[in-house]
Amino acid sequence: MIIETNGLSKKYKKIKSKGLLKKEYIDYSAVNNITLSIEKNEHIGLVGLNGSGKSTLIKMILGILQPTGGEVKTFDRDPVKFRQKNAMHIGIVFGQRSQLRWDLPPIDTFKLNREIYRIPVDVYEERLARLTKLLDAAEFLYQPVRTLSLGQRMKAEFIAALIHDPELIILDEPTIGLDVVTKNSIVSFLKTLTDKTIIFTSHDLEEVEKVCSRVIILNRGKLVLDKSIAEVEKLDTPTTIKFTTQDDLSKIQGKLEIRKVSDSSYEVADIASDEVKNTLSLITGQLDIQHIEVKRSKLEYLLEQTAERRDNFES
Amino acid sequence: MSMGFKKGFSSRYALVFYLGSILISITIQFFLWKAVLVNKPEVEFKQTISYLVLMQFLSMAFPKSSYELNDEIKSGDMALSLLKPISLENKFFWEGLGYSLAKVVVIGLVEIVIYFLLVPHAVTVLSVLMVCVAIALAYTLYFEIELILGTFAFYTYSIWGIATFKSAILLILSGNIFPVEYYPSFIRSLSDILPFQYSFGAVGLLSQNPSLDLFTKIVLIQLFYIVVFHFIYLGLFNRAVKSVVIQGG
Amino acid sequence: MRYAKLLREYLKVNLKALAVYDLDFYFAIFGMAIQNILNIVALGFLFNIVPSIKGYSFQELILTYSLATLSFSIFRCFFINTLNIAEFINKGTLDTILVKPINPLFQLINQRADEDSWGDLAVSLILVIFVDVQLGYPWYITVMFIFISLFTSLIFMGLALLGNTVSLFSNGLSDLAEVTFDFFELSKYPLSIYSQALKWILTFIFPIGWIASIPQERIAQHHEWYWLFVIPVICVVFFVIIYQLWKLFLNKYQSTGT
Repeated sequence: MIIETNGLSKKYKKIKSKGLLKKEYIDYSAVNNITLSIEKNEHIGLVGLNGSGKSTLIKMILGILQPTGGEVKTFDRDPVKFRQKNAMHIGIVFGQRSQLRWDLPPIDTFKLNREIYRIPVDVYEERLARLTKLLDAAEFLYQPVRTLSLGQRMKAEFIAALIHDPELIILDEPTIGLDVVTKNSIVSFLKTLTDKTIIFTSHDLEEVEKVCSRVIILNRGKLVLDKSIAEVEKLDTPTTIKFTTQDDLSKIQGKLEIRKVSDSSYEVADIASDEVKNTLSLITGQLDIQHIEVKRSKLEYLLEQTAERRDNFES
Repeated sequence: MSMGFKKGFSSRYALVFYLGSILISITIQFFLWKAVLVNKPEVEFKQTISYLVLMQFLSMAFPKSSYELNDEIKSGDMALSLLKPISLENKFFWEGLGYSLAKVVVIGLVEIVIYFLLVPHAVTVLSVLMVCVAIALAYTLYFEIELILGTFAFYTYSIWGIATFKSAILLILSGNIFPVEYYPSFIRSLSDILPFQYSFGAVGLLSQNPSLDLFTKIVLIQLFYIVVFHFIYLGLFNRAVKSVVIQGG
Repeated sequence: MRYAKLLREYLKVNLKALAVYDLDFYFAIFGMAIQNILNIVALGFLFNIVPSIKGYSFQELILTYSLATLSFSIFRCFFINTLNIAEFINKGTLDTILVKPINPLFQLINQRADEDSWGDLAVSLILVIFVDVQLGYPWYITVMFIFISLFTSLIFMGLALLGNTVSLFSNGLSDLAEVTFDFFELSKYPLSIYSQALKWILTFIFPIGWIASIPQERIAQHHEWYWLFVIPVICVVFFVIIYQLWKLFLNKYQSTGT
């Protein structure tokens, strides 16, 4: 078992109102009673909207944040106490903060990391060559980081985080702001790391589905879903079709439940997956369509569902 | 201008620490000069230390626009600012003035109180008015110097070296740390000609000796240097912008 | 051993980073040198008014000044980055430090180098040697001063870490960097110019007096050699106490988080 948590919680005091003399605080649960275990070589997608508690959970796993309740074990140890020991086996990429030295080429940070993680020179050279090739990074290793594009910088961050061949790789929104090409090359790179445990946080479920074997969804600090990727794929997510037309809708009225969004723009929501094809052909066959869009947002749907379920449960 | 003012208050703690460091600095000067002027009449000590408090006030209130100009160039925000319908000079001037006023409200009041506690001679309304006018012009002159320094950042990566150089010149030629009246006569006559003294020391001299003659002389020299520096800045700035545009930076 | 190797690597990287600022780097060194010289010239102006200040001659006052500057420039050359903790907290860089298997303070110190303190270091070193010769001190006094300065720079680092605790406590809210510079100003003059109360504070609470004034008085003037031992011990003890406090606040930072 690489990571195990039991009833893990983190509460913050938030300033509710600031008076002249005293401040009023309210308790705010960033992470609320999470129990999960992650095994070796699992690729976990940790998904949630902003402020759902992903980063807080990650920080507690890393031992840079102390839980207020429950327990967490990383490599079967208390991560806060054994932070430096654990750190030898963990590689981290933060999408929004950099470990690279801003005014120097990435290669210098790699060399520093070689010393920090005590990597023998020959092993280091070999790993560097392999990572550079996999990530197609050879051309910019010797350019100062401040001159790199975001995509290049992220690739360099990946190399810096993986140069010590960590068992556990934590990727905190690493694809934020990247273009599709770079995203794809990082995704396919991650797929090759089958002998590693990966925790990949994102607010994009589709992307996580490509990389991960298991998905964990957090919402407002609570664990709302923990399923294998196969199960998630099987989930029937209703689809929404949006279209724009100047035609008269009377031809299909009655057959479908159409909602008008704005002038000549309409929406059909909650279509079951086996109905999508029929609905599409009905619309496109009968009407002169200017623009059509099929949307299936699993994450939104799942979050909605679980939120409703909880509301019902609580009331 | 309100932007700068807000900036001053958002870092309220920073201003409190700033006040602390000014008080420490005044303390050091107090004891040092007490030790130096131990055999001189009390009035001379009080006059010197009140002059130095006034200098502290000016250094605190004057803008640090060179750093901001430098930041803007380094971060690339420059391109955005150049597109705005307000000239860079105006933007920095009003932002800097807002920040300065915020500092004056928090820190300056304390310094002014200390000044009036220490100053040994009577203060008239006319002399206060003259000193205020001289301060306003000293501020503008200093602002122009800052802009010129900031423009150098177009040519070098960071400004710290140049800024250190500047503070070195200010130290010896402006009467900022050391009262102008105690300068040896050679340096005294040199700093009379150079512009730096007219941002600091001249104001101090005027406050000690508020005559209309001195006031007129100082104001005329200040105005002269403000105009000259303004044109130097414009020249440097336009050249710098051109070279940036050509590089596509 | 491992940290020594790491230190070498950090030094290499930091020197390389300094080289990026080529023109400015030399400007800075030049500027600092001039500033130092002018500071001394300004001190000299004082002696146009009186022949000695509290029994200190011009040369002796320069010695106090240059000892303080030497100690402070050692601090700036090697430990200056401790002043940037508020920025590290705000940018989240502190987290990337905490997840590495190396002592956090060590990493923090080596995260960046200051480009313009090298000029100060060189100038103050030259000054100490020059003034010692002027005053007719034997060579070993100079060596002793350099030895002592290595330790007294720890006092500056301790004061910087003390400022850090405020940043850690308030999650990067306030930046106490300037205060360390003020302490430096206080250390440039002999303790004897200050009032009794201030003297006491600068000896026992914020041990600024130990940086230049006390070594000068005890070693150069009174030749009391055991202070060669006492002063470094005081510096190390002060630093260790503050470092423990700092660690406490770092843990506190971890329990509050952002």
